[in-house]
Amino acid sequence: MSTIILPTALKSRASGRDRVAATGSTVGDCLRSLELAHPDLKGWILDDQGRIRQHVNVFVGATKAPLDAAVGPDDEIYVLQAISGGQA
Amino acid sequence: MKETSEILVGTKKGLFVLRGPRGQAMDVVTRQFEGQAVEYAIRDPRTGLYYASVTHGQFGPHVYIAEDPTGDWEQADGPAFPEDTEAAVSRVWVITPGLEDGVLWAGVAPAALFKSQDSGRTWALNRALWDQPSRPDWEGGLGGLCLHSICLWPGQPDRLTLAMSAVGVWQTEDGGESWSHYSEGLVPRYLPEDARADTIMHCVHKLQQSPVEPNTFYMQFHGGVYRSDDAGYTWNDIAAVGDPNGLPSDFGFPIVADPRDPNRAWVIPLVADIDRVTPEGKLRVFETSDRGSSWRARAQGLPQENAFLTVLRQGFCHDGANPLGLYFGAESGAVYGSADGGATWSLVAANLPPIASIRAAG
Repeated sequence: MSTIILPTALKSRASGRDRVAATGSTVGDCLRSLELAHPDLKGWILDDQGRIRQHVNVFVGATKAPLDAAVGPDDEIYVLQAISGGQA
Repeated sequence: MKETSEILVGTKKGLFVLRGPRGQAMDVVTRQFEGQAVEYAIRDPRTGLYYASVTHGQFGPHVYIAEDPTGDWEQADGPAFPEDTEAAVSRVWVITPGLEDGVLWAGVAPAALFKSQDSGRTWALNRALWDQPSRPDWEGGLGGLCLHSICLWPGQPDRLTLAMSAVGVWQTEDGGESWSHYSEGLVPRYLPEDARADTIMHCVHKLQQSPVEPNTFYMQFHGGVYRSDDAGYTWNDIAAVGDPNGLPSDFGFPIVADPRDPNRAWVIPLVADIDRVTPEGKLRVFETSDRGSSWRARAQGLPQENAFLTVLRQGFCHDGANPLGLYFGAESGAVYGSADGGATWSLVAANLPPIASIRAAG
């Protein structure tokens, strides 16, 4: 299983955990399985159409990764708040 | 007479709940959704439930529900667009309790209407409005393409009148199965004269309906203040800029209609679209009590020197009480209130974050 590492802002939506195991062979699979396991995260990382939100960055290890990026069982998937977002 | 009020203030940095004497300085009893933009918050008088539209800078818009605004808020499921639309909600602009039990309506960006039949816990897109053939030509204003005004027809749950920026006024009489667009009399001065007749690009800033005389509507337009006497089919400009009894400007965002007197409404004019601050450095609310034939400034208690404020479209409300309470909040973070229908004003709260919306909860 891969591990998804969540930002502090999302910990409370994942039962207080910032590292969550996820199943799937792609980033998209893993993020969708994360939503199923933690419904409070629905709509937070992926938008209405299942796309990564504009101001969210997802990395696999050190590489920025789209939804169809392959992941292995030892990979760490980082969900990050992009510096392009937020509120002034 | 009602003595105290609860005011919900949606700001760029959270929801502030104010409680205290009507129209006077109030206490901030809680701040919720720290760091997030609270676009709109209301209390449903039928159930006592509170609703908040919250947009996280990175993680998007969400609707929350609470029994107590100082306590825990539950996240709703939606509103969200179905897959075939290829759209995503970017902001929930307005939430309006419906007439039937459990029904609420939400207006969002990109401009669309959602309906909930379970007190806001789940939401469904109104397809007829979304599938309008003219939608590819729809354009937004500076605030984006959004549905911001939802007017209910008393005793007619299948009839709704909506306003969107910048695609005008729409009405359904069959519960949202079909929609008609009304614009006769609106003058979009931001378009070339030759382009005005056939356009649907009508930038309505806010629409209000008289609940006691539902054919009467008041509208703040992007350059123009209008009244309709015929259910929104046709519109008459009532700004009278340049007239001694007219408004100093016909630009602004909010408008409030009196819930008991269909002849009475209030606006807060700004200089113009190129200078969105109160004219002459004076903070003034203007009232008409004769359907827009004349206007008078209501400024007692409001700053009249070096006051360059901006009040947004959801930033002005009444409390429904008698005499009527009025409240508005500015991007400066100041909230002003009146317990006597605008005759006198007091500073209710200061130094809040920029204010997007204000609604009286009780």
